[in-house]
Parts: sequence; C-alpha cells; structure tokens
Amino acid sequence: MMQTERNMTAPIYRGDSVGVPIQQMQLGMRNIYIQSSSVHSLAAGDEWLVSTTALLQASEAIPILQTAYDSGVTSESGIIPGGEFERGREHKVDVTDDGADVHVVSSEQLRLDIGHIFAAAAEEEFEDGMDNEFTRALLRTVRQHGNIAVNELEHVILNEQVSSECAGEALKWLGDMEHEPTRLYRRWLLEKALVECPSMIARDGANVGLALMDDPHAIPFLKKAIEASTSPLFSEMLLQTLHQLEETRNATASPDDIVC
Amino acid sequence: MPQLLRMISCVRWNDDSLDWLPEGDVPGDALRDLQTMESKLSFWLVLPNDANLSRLVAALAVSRKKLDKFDYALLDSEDLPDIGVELEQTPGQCFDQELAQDFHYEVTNVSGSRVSALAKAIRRHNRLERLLPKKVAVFIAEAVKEKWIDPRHLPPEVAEKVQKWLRKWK
Repeated sequence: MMQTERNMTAPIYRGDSVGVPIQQMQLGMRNIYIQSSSVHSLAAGDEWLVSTTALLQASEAIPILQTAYDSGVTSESGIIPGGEFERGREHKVDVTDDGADVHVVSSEQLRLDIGHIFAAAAEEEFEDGMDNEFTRALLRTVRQHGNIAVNELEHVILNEQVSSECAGEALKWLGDMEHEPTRLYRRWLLEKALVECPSMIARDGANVGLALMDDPHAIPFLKKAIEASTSPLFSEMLLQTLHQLEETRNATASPDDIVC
Repeated sequence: MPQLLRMISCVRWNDDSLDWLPEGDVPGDALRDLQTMESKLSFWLVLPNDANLSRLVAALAVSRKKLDKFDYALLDSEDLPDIGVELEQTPGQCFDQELAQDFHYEVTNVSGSRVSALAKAIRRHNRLERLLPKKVAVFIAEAVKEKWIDPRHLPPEVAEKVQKWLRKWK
C-alpha cells in the first residue's frame, strides 16, 4: 500500500546523500526518521520504524507523533500506548490500517545499548567461524531496530569509538546477516568502512563482510581500497574479494546488461 | 619437504605499515596465532602440490560453528631442526577420521624464543593464505560428496550457508 506517499503532506528528504534507505520527514521544527527499505514500495506487512532524533519530553513527542499520524504515517489505532512517551524505552505501537507495527525508540537508548555490547566485548578474543555473545547481541539489535541500529553502528565504527577488533568482527557479520530491510544500509556501511577506516583490522572485517554479502555493487569500493593499500598482503586479500564479486557480476549479468 | 598448515588470522601478520618493525621480524599480534599448549603447537600435514589441502580445509572448517573465511599459514618442515623443535605425529581432532589419524602433527619443545623463530620462518616463506567463505563452502560440499565428512556432522549454520552458496553458484 502507498499510504505514506499518498497522504503525506510534509516534504520528504533523503536522510543521506548516498541514498541510505532512511527517509527523513520534516515535521515542524523536529525531525522524525522513518525507516523502510523504500518508502515508495511500502506494502502491507512491512515494518516501519520511527525514531526521534532528539530527546523529547512526552509533551513534545506526542504532538510530533500526532502530526506523523495526521500525515498518514500512523493510523488511528493510537500513537503511543497509554499516551506516554518514555525516554529510553521502546514503544511498540499497533498502527497503520494494514496492521504493520511501528516502533518508536529513543536513539539515545539505542546508542547506550550498542555501547554496552561493545564494552562487554572489549576483552573478547574473536576466532574465525566461532559464535560469540558480541555478534549475537549485535545482530539481534539490528534485527530489532533496523537501520536506526545500523546508523548507531556507523557512528561508533567510523568514528573509531570502538576497538578495531570489535569493529572488524561487527563489520564481517553485518555482511553475513540476512535481513533485507537493512541490507542497503549495511552494504553502504561496509563499503565506507572499507575505504575510510584507518585500522586494517576493521577494513579487513569490511572486506570479508562484503565477500559474504557477495554484492557486485561493492566492486568500485574494493578497487579504490586496493589502490589505496600500501600492503601487498592486504591488497591480495582485497583482490580475492574483488575477483569473487566480479565472478558474481558476470554470472548474474543478463544479455541486456552487456553493452557493446 | 612437506608443508605444515596452521589456522591463523592473516591480518595479524601484516607488517607493511609498521615502520618500526625490525627486518625479518613479525608483529607481536602474529604470536597470538601461535599459542602453545603444554609447549606444543598443532599443525596439519599438507601433501606435495597441496594435494590434500581442500580436504583439510573442509575438515577444519566444519569444526567451526559458522561458515567463515579460512586463513592459514604454511610452515616448511625443513626449518624445524634449525629452530630446535621436533615434529611428532599425534591423533588430531576433526570430523574427517582419516585426516585426524594420519595428518595431524605437533611441533614439540616450543619455548618462547622458538615460537618467535617459528613465526619468522612462516613469514620468511610468505605463505599466508586466505580462502573466502564461498571457496570454503565449495570445499565442504566436495568433502561431503566424496564422503570424507558425514553431512550429519555439519553444524546447522554451516550446512545452511553451504547450501545457500551452492544454490547461488549452481
């Protein structure tokens, strides 16, 4: 259903210049982030996440969410249970007339939760192919909160607020997870980390994550990372992923994709 | 001379950006991949021309919980006498019984300085290799097909990912 597109009166802005699938809807003086893999292809049963970008008091939040409702984001079944917006608490609300859920979550609380996950793993020894509580908790959080959680991960990883070992481990398994609503944002994060993270351990995590994701979209980023690499060993590891993705691209290219 | 395989993490061995590292030395992080147990280090014998390499990789990869990259180092057994360590064949632990029985070795009498010497020997020959998860999945599928590994031993997450890769690449 195209409820949002049809009913929304407020302007829609892209939340990120590279097309991260967070649509930002400006409502009055406040911003509300609405997450969907594509706002134009919303279908019945799709999950929406609404997150305030600032800490709001209940008295401030309710009118904003009410506006969101009026704009067609939510339905008449209620904005927040009990009419209370509690900072730091996730509110699961039954909204939209197709029965989809809307989660309202404080980004501040999510930031704290993710900080705790990384802090608990600070001394953990990661081993290839082995399960650990760190990745379990991280992937659970991404599944639960979607792109808003990926946004927090972007913040802590790209700003080097976590150890390179943890960043590398997180990036690797973000590439492996199967969760379509966050796929584009996770891919974007891996591509960005691959070329921007100063730590080779973190970049290698992104490299393996992209190999696990197996999406040829990352090819230009791998080429850029290879160009920038001063290490023959790391360049070789990047080349392997590049070759795999080129194979994937060639295997999946339709005759229409071939330009003579 | 035969080569000996040990699982490592390649990125720990990278020394190209470490200006302070003395010539021929290895980063301290690399020693994390050579942690001894009772002054011994476990290795697997690789036949000439890497004849049993894919089988070894499959056997070791299914001992893990998840399908992942497989980084390994190869050590030339010819280097061992000079380092002062010894090589002893012992039963190994993996789901490929033949490999576990015949191809597992322990390097013994490993002191602190000998660990460092082993690390330098590995780096000198520069046989640090990586197999991406897709390649590992192919090796596992081959090992199952050849009945080297009983598919019932595959951890569920590994089995699921192997199936996924095979479907994608069929």
